Amino acid sequence: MNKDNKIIIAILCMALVLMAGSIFANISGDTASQGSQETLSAPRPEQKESAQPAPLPPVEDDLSQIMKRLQEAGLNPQPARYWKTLDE
Amino acid sequence: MNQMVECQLCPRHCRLTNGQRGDCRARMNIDGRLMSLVYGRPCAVHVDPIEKKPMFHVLPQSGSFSIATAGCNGHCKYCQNWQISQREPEDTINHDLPPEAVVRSALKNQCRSIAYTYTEPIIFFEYMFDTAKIAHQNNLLNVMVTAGYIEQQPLKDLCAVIDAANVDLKAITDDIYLNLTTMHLKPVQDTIVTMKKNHVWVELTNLIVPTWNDTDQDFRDLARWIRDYAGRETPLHFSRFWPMHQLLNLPPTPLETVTRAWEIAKAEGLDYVYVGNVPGHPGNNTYCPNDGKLLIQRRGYLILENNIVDGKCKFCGTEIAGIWD
Repeated sequence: MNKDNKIIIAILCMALVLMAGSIFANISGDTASQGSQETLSAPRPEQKESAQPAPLPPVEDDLSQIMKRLQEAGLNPQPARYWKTLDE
Repeated sequence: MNQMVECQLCPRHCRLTNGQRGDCRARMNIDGRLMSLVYGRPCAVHVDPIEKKPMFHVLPQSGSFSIATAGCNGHCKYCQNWQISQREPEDTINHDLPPEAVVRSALKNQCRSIAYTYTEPIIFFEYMFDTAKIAHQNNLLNVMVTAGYIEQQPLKDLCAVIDAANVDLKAITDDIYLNLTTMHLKPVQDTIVTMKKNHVWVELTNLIVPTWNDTDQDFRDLARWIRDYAGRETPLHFSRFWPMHQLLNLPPTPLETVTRAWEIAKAEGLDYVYVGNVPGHPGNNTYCPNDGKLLIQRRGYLILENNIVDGKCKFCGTEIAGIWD
């Protein structure tokens, strides 16, 4: 076998290895998809634990800083309707 | 001033100390008074076809001048506008657009309605209310796209100026509602009933989210509740879910699920059932509830054919519920 033939055979072998690798990767991808879909069919009670009503944003300490930020953002607070004062 | 206040606009009843803002991020206790931070400052302003709301029984193929401010009193896991709904108003880019300017812009753009939409218009109640009054004086309709999470008194006041609403009815069991949206079901159902009683034209939307609200029983219960409490003439839009926000792990709603929902709701006696987010589906169209003939054929937001004349089916004369002129 001369040197050129050896190079051609080496290239063919590499191509075969790459093709085999690519086929294997596709099979793995399908399996992964099926796995993730199985998670979807999990019973609803598991989902119930995941969400809670969002807590109120924390009190911002310095009202003057808040007002400054609102002003810088071009906001112009206006009296709201439907509220009452609470006894502390 | 350290006076505490309680907001009574929505069922959350946020109790706020000085400097604290509500769950919606748009209302704040400032020196013992509750203030709206977003009045006249929308962060989204667009001219949309009214079909986009979706609103299929109101002035078809007309433009709707659509506005929204930052903030929301809901926190839906699938929110498609979370970049503005879950933000403080000082973190969005806002327009300076007082109520008079909104109406002027709507008229200039040849719109026939103003839509309060994208986020939750309830949280910019005062801005919406004042704009809606001026809109009526200028022969524009007011359309609200809402989750309907509001207290009864403000809602009744609002009904005086709102002509049509698309209300999201996101699920039909309270536990799913709470976990998917952080809101309860009952106040939303009350909103729908009150709007109907106060002659607001109501269409409903149900986003079908895989594994959350997608069983045949869900569809049946939803359709039965609508039929019994809102009326069979109330249009129901089933919308196909697309992975979004906190639910990127879910697949889009399978087409066969959407079609099954459409068929079940029709079988339960609803006159107008639609399918959204599925271009080319027969559920995009309006059919006469009497003779079943095609009345409005839609492709996307376009209307290809309209066989409603003076609010009636052109073929059999049956009255088609809605606001047609």
